[in-house]
Amino acid sequence: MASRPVIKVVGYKWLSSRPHSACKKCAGLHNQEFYYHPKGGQNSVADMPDPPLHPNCRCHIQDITRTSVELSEQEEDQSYVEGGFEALGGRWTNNGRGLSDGPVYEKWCGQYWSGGRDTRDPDAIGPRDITPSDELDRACRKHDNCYDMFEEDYCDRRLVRDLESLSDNPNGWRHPPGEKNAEKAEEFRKWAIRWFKWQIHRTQNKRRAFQEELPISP
Amino acid sequence: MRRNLDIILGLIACAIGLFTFATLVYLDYPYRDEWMMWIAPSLWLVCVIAMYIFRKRNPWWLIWVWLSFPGAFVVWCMLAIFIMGQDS
Repeated sequence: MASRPVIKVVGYKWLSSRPHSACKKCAGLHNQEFYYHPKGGQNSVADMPDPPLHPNCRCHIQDITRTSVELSEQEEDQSYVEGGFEALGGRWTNNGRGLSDGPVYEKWCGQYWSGGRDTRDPDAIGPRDITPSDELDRACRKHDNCYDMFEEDYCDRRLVRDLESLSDNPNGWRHPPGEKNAEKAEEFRKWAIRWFKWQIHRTQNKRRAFQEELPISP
Repeated sequence: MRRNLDIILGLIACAIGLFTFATLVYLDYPYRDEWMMWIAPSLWLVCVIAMYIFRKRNPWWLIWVWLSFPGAFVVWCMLAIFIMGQDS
């Protein structure tokens, strides 16, 4: 397949909206750059904390982009797609996963799926590539990182908000998916919104039921 | 032809189930997801309902048509397994 130039995210810049009045942590990170492939003296994305660092944190990250030549989509897919079949925009039973693990999309979207491999299987095939493929993949990465720090319900709400803010046409996203993936990305986005809205609803119901079970104090 | 209408409808339902399963594993074409999600299950249901309406024999002789159910509803079955996997 002929390759074509695309904008690629090579790293992120940490920005605090009020660097002078920010806390020490945020002020220290302000204007720092983190790269996927750091050269001498540069910070690695692996060391970058994800905003928000604390409640009411006003920090955010900005993409550092460069124009590059995209790898052939097929080559990229083959690196972490191993078997399975596609449905609802995602790939099912990929890389030793079962049906009950659900579908995956690119490198970050899917249950137990981070960096293009199954997090439960250290021998899973895949390059452990952490560069999100597109805007949807990036939202999923943010969601995965959020789970490490915050309550699942909060992260799910944030994901739904992020996914709903993406336009219906993937080609209009800031980091659009490849031509081959556009349809899949839109399908997966719709299903992910439905799924996580249902999860949020279930969590709400569980909470309500738990509160109703609590004994009333005299 | 009219005497075997139920069998023909059953065979059509089986063909839908087989084609949908093949779609999942091997085939790619426009509106593939729409076919697997809505069109195939609806057509399969219509065929099976029509088969029972126009049946000329004991329903037990038509039980084989249900073998194609997982094929026609393959995406729904996958979703069901996924959801059950979450609860367990």
